[in-house]
Amino acid sequence: MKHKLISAMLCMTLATSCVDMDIAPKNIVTSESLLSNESGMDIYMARLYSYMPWEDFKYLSQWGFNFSGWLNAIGIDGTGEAMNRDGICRAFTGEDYAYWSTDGSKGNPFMLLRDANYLIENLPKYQGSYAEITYNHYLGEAYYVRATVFYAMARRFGGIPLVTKVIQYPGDGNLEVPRASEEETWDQVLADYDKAIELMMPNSPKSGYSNKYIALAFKSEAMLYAGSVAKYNETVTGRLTGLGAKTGVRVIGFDENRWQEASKKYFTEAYKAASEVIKSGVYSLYKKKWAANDPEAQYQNMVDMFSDLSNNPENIYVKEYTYPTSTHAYDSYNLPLTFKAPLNCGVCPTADFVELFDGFDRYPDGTLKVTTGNSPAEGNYVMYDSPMDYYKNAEPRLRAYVIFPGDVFKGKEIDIYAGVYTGSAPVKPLLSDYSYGSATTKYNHLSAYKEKPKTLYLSPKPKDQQEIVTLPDGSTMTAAGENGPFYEDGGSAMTGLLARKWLNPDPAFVPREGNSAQPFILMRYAEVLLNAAEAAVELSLAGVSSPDGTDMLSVATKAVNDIRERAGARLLTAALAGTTDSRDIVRKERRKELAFEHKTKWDLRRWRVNHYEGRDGFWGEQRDKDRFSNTTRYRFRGIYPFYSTETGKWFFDVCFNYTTAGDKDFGYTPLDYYFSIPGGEVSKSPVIDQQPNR
Amino acid sequence: MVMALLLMLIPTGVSAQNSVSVSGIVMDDTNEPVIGAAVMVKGTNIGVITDIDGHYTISAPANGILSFSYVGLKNKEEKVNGRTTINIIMATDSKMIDEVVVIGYGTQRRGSVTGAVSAVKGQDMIKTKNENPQNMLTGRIPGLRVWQKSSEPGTFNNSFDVRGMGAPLIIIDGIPRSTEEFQRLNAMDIDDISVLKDASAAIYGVRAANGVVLVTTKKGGAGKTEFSYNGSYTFQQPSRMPELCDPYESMTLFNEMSMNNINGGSWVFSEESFEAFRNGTRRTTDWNDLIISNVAPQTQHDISISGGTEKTKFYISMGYFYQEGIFRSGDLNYNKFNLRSNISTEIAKGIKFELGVSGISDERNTPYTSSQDIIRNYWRQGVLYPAYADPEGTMLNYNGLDMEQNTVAMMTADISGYKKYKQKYFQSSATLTADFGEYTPVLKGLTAKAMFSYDYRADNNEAFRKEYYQYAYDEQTGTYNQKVYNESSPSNMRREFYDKSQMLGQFTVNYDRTFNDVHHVGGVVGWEVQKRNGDNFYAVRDLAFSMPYLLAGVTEGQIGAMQTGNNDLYEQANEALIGRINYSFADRYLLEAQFRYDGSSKFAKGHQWGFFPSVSAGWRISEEPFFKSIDVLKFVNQLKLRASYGVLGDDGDLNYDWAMGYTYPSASGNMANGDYNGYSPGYIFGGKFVSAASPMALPNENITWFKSKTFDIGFDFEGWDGLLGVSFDYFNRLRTGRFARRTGALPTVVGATAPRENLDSDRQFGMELELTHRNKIGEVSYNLKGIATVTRQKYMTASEKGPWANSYDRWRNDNLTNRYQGVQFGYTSAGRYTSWNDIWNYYGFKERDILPGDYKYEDWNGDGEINGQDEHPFAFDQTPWLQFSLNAGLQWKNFDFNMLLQGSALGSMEYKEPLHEIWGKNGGGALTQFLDRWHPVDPKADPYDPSTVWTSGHYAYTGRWARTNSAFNRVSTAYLRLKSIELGYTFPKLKQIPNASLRVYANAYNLLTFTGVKFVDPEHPDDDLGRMYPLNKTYTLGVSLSF
Repeated sequence: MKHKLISAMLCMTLATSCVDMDIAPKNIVTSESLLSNESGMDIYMARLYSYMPWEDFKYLSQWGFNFSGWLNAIGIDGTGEAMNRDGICRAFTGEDYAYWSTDGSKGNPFMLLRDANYLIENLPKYQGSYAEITYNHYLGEAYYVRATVFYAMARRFGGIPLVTKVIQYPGDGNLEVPRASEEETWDQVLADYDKAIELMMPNSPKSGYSNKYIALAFKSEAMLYAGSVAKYNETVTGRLTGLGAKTGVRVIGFDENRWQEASKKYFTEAYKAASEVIKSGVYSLYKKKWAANDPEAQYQNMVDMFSDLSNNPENIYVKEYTYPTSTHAYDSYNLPLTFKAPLNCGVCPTADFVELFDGFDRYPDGTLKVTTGNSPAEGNYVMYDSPMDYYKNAEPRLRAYVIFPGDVFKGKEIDIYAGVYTGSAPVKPLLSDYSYGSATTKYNHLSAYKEKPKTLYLSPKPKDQQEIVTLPDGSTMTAAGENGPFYEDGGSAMTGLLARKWLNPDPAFVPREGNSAQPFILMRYAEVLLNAAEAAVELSLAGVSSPDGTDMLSVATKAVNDIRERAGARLLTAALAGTTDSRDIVRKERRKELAFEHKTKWDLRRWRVNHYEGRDGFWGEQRDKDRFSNTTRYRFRGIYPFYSTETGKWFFDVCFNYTTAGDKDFGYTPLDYYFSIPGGEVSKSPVIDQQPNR
Repeated sequence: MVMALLLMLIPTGVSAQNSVSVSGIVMDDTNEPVIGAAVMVKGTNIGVITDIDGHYTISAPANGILSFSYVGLKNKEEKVNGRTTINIIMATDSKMIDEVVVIGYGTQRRGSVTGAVSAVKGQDMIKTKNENPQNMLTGRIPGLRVWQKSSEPGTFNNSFDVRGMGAPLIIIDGIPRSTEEFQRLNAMDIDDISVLKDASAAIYGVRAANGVVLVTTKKGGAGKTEFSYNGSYTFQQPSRMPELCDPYESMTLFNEMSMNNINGGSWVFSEESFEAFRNGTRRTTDWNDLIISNVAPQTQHDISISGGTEKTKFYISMGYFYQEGIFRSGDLNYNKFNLRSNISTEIAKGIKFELGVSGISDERNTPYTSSQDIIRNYWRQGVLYPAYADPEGTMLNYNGLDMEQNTVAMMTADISGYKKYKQKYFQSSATLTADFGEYTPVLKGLTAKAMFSYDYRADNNEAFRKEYYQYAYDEQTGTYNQKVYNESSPSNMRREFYDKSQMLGQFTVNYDRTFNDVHHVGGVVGWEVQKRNGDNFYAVRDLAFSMPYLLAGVTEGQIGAMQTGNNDLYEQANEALIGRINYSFADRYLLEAQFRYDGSSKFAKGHQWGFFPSVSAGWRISEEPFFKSIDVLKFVNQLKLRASYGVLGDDGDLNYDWAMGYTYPSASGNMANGDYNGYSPGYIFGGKFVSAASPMALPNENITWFKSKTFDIGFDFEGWDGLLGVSFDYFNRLRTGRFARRTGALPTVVGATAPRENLDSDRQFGMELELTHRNKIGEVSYNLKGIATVTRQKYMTASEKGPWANSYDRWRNDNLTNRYQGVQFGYTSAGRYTSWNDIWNYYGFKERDILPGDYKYEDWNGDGEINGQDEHPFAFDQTPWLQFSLNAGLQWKNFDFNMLLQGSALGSMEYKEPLHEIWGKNGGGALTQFLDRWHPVDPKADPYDPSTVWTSGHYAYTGRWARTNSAFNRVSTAYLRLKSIELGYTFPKLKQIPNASLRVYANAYNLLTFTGVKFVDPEHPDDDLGRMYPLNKTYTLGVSLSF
C-alpha cells in the first residue's frame, strides 16, 4: 500500500516535472517566413505601404503624417482653395508631426527607410524563391519606397540624412548620419527612382503595388520640385540657401555656381519621365461621359472621374479603402449640412478660387462682378432669378469641383444663402469698402442688421437659431439657407460655396464616421501632362533642347488644351512658348485642375510665391497681392447670395469672409519654404543641423 | 541526545492504584463545545482529545492535576480532587502567539515568524460588506493598499498593492492564480488571507518582488455536519454623482458665459426662451431622473455544508450573487455563481489525499455604449431638448441633441444593443501528503507532499450593436420625421473567445521537529513546475437584420481574427527548486533562510535561471530568562525584534525582448471601425486588405529580470494581556535593472525602437504601524485596531528622457533621476480678486478681462507675470502616500458591532473636462455645482461696469475657469470615511435545536465621507476625464443561519 501510494505520488509530479523550457514565442513571426514567398511579401509590403508619406484622406497639412482621418479636409491650408472653421485651417508653414518623427505610430521616415533597406539587403538571400522579374520587382519596390520617403523629406527640409543601409545597433560604431546637401539629396531621390524604374515591371503584380510608370510619374513630380527649388530659390531676396552650423554642409538651397545646371538637369529629368509615360500610351484622360459642347455632360464626366474606379484610364496610382476594415470619414466631415453626419461643411471654396475659372462677368481688374458699377462698392447689385443663375455659364470643371448655391447634390437642392434683404430695390452694395484694409467688417455689424427698422436679416446659427423673415405675401423664410452661412457657426457654407470633389455622390450612401471607402487618386494622368508642360516651358526658358527628341512646346500646348477641352474651358489661342506668360498659363491650369488634391500647397512652395514679395504669383496667374494681403498676412473672400424680398430676386456680394469661424488670416515668410528640423533632433545629435536661417 | 529522545518517547510510569476515571465537557466562553482540546494529566504523557461534543474521558490520579489546552484558548489546569466529572470553560486566549500563519509553502506559528507577514481571518474580512474581497481588505492589513475606482457591476475596478510596490502575486490554496480569480472568490469561502510583505516572499522568486497575497479557503473539520446559509439584500446608491441644472439655471449659466466678454456680451437665451419653458411650448428633459436610479439592488445567497470524520473531512459551498447598475434601464448588471468543494481523506495510515475543486461562472451585461459614455452623453446634452419627440414619451427624439445622441437609447439594450462578458473559471488541485512520522518515530516531523493542479479559464464575449430609429417633430408640417441613428447602423455582432489554462506540479518535503524542547528545526525543499497556455479568436459581422447571432451576418466585410498580445496568445513554462530552513532556540532566537532557483521559458537560452535568496532573524526578548525575571516588565506578554533581507525578482511585462522578428498582424485600437481616424495597420493589395507585420524593437539577448533587494526591520509588542499591542515596520526596497530603453541616446536615423535593457533603478520605502487594544468591561468585550502606512517611491537612476534644451527644461520635464514620484507641477493660489479695487491695486501684469471673483495665481518666480515658469511642484498625484484605518469591534450579550474608519492623505486629484467647466453646447454640461459662482446680482448688468454689484461663490464668473493644473482645480483627496459599519444580533439558542444559530445584521458601506473633494467621491479617479462610473454607498440587510 505504502509503495503504491508513494509511486502514485511520484508519478503525479513526474508527469509535469519535465517541462520543456525552450518554447518559441507563439506570437512572433520571423523575417524568413515573410521574405521567402509572395504572400509573406504581401505582408511585408503592406507595412511599407501603410506608412507611405502619402497625402490623402488621412493627412491634414496642419498635423502632418499622423495618419488620422479625424476632421479631414483638403485645400484649407492657406492655398486659397478653401476655408475651414477649425484651427486646422492655417498656412502650410510646418507640420505638427514633423516628418522626422521617432514615434512609431506616426509618420516615421527612418523606420520606413530601415524596412526598405532591410529588404534590399536581405531579399538576395531568397532570390531562388522567385522568378527573376518578380525578384527584381520586389527590389524595385524597396527603391521606390526609399525614393518616396527621401522625396517627402526633401521637399520639407531640403538636405536630409541619406540612410541607404540598415544601421546595426549594437554593431555599427558610428550610428549617426548627418544631413546631406540639398543637391545630393535630390540626386539620391533621382537615383532611387531610376533604380526602381529599371527594376519594376510595367504592370503592378497586384493593384496597390507600384510599377515602372507609377515610379516615372512620381519621378516627374519630384524632379519638377527639385528643378523649381534650384531655380526659384534665386528669386527670394538674398538667395535662399545656407550651410549647416555643425557640418558646414549646404543643407538648404544650391551653390551659386551650381543652381543653374542643377535646375536644368532636374527639369530635364522631369520632362523625360513625364514624356515616357505619355509616349507609352498606357494612360489617357477620363472622358467616358464627355461630349463636345455639352457643359452638362462635361460636368458629369468630371464628377464621375473621382468615383468611377473601374477601368479609369486616367488613374495612375490610387490609394484604396475598403469598408469596414480600412475606411475614412471624408464624407462625414465635409458633406453639406443638409446631410449632417455628424460634422459637415469642412471644405468651403473661396471666391478667389472661383475667380480662376471661365464663365463669370468681371470688373476691369478681373475680379468677379456682382454690381452694375466698375468695382464692388459701385453701382447696384445685379439681380438674378435664382442663385444658380449666377453660375449658369461657369466652367463645367468648376461645377464638378464645387457645389454652387441651389445646385443639386445627392438628389437634393443645396440651399445656401447668407441673408434676406427687405429694403427697397435697386440695392446698393452692403459694404462701403471691399479692400483688404476693411476685411474685418462684418454684415452683422451693419446698422441695416442691428438697428430698427432692420432691412437685413442674418442667422447666427442653424436650425432653431435661424432668424425668421416674414415675406410680403405673409409666408416666412429663414434668414439664411439650410446650409448657411451663419455668422456664428462655422459648420456651414461659410464662403457661400461647398466642395464637391471627393464626396460620395451616391444618394443611397448614408454617411457616418468611418464608413467612407472611396479611393484617393494620388497620381493621375492629367498631372503627368501638366508636369510635362511645365518642364517643357521651363526648359525652353532656360534654352535647353528636348532631351528625347519630342517637340517640347507642342507637347506642352497639347497637354494644356487636352485638359481644357475635357474641362469645358476655353482653349489656348496660341501655342505655348518659352516665356513667363506661358509658364503662368501652365501654372494656372495646374492650380485649377489639381485643386483639392494636396498638390497646390507644394506648387506654391516650389514656385516661391507664398511670401509677400513673391505673392503676385500666388494664384498661378499674376494678381496684385495687395488686393488680398498686406506685408505679413493674407485673406480670402466668400461669395454670398442674398434674397431681396421686394424684388423676389437674388443678388451676390463678394467680400472677405465675414463669419466668426472664417475670420482667419494667413502668414508666410521665406523661412517657411524649409520646415524647421525638430528641436529635439538637433540637440540630441552631434551631427544633425538645424536650418541655417532658423 | 539519543537518550533524551528515547526518554521523551517512553511514557513515564505512573502508578495506577490511585487512578480515577474522570470525564466531562470542555466548552469555550461562548458555550460552544471545544473539539479536539488536549486533556493531559500534568507531569505525565497521558492525554486524550475531546470529541465532537467536547466530551472527554481520562484516567487520572485522584490527587493529580488535569491540564487543558487548545490553540486559541488559554491553557487551564484543574485539580482532580477525587472528582469523576469535571466540566471546564476555557477562556479565549488573547495572546495570538500560537496562532498559525500561512506562509510560502507552509505554515508557521505567529510567535516564530521573522518576516513582515500580516494576516486577516475570513470572518473579520466579511465585516465589510462588498462584492469584491479586495474591498473587504481595505484597512484590515497594514501595508496592503486598496483603492476602489468604481462600483460598476462586474468590472472589479480596483487597484491593489503591498506597500506601494505594484501588483502582488496572488496565491490561492498554494497555487499562483490571477487577481481576477481572487476578486471573484466567494468571501464566505475564505478562511484566511496572509500577506508576505518583505523578503519572506523570496520563496516565490521571480514573481514575488511586489509581495505575495496568500489566500486559504475553508476546509471541513471533524464533527457534526454543519449547514449554513448566508443571505443578504443590498441597496446601492451612487456615492456623490453630479447632477444637471434645470433649464432656467442652465440658460442662466449660458447667458453668463456669453455676457462674459470684454468686447461686449449678450444673452444667448432670451426672455422668450425662458418663457417657452415656463408655458410649456418647449419641453425639458430631466436626464438625472431618466438615466440614474437612486437605488439599485444587489443580492447574495450562499450555502455551505461542512463536516466529516477524523479521517474524511469536507467543505462544500455554493454562492449566487447579483448586482445591478445605477442606470434606470437595468441593462447594466452582473451575476455570478460560485461552487467549491474541498475534501480530504486519510487513505492509509499517515497518507492524506485532498481534492479541491472550484468553479466560477459569471456574466457582466452592459448596454452597447459604455457607462462612461452614457454619463458623458447625458451631461453633455443638457436639459433644453426633450428625450422624446412626442409628449407621450413613445418616440425617442434626436432634434437638438448634440450629434443626435439620445442617452435613453444608449442605455437601453433593447434599443441600441448590448455587450456581454462571460467568464468561466475551473480550478482544481489534488494533493497527497505522507507523514513519515506515523511509520517510524525517527522520522517524526518529516512529511512529503505532492500536488497537481489544473486551472482553466474561458472568456466568451458578445458585442451586439443594434440599428435603431429616432424621431423629430417638424413644427412646420406637424408631423414626425424618422431617422436611423447613424452610428447604430448597420447592426453588427462581435464574438470573442479566450481560452487559458495552467498546470502546476509540486513536490515538497517538509521537516518540523523540536529537539530537547529547545531546538526547533524546520525546513522545506521542493520542486515546482508550471505550464501556462493561452489562445483566443474573435469574429465580427455586419448583420442583415437585428438578430443577435453571427448567422444573420452579411458576407461583406466580415472579420475573423485573434489577439496576439503576450497575455492573449502564449505558451510558457516555469520550473523552480525551492528551499527553506528554520532554526529556533528556545523560542527566543529565530533564524530563517530560504531560496528559490527559478527558471522561466520567457528568456533566451542561457539566461533562463535565477537564484533568489533571503534570510531573516528574530529575537523574542520577552522569552529571555533575564527579561522574565524583571518584575517591572511583567506586563509584557510579548516583545520581538525581527529583520529580514532578500533578493527577489520581477520579470514584469517582459515580452520576448531577446527575440528578433515581427508581430503579426499589426493591430490598432480602432480596427473595428475601419481605423477611420487613425493609422490603419495594413494595405489593400489586389482589392483585399492585407494586414502588416510590425518589426519588434531591436533585440537584447541579455535582458533579464530586474532585482529587488528588500529590507525590513520591525518589532511586535503586546502587553497587559492585550490592552496594548504595537507592531512597527520600516521597509526599503531597492530595485535595480528596471527595464528602459535608451531612446534618447539611439540616433533617430537608426529607424528602430531601442531595445529594452536593464537600466533603471528605484527605491520604495516607508513605515507601517499597527496598534491594537482588546478589553472586556463587564459584559462588553471590544477590540480596536489602528493601522497607518506611509510609502513613497523615488527613482534612483532613470534613462535619459532628453535631450534637454537647458537645465530648467530638464528640471521641469525630466522628473525622473533622483526624484520622488507622484508629484504634480502647477500654480498655487494667491487668493481671489474680491472687488474692482482689488483688481486695480493688485501688482503685476494682469489680463485685461479680469473680473471680480477671478483666480489669483501665485507669482512663484516673482517676475510680475503669471506664465508656465510659475508652475512648480505643488501637489501629490492620485495615489496617496499615506493610508490609515481604525477598526472597532464590540460584543455585548447577543449583539455584535463592527466599524471600520478608513482614509488616506497626501494625494490629490484634478477635476477634468466636465467637472472642471461647463462641457457642452447649447445648455449642455451645466452641472449644478457650477451654480455656486461669482455673478452680478442683476443678470443683465454689464459685468465690466464697476458699479455692478456681485455675489460671491466657489467658482469665478461663469466662463472663467481656473487653470486645470492649479490649486483651484487640483485638490487634496485626503479623506476619512466610515467604510463599513455593521450591527448584528444573534438569537438565543433554542433548547430543541441547540446547534442552530441565527444571526441577523445590518451593514452600511461608504456611509459617511469627510473630505475636501467636491461633487465626486475622493477615491473616484480622474480616469475617463472624470466620467467614470461612480463608487457606491450600500445598505445591506442580511441573515446567517447555521445548524
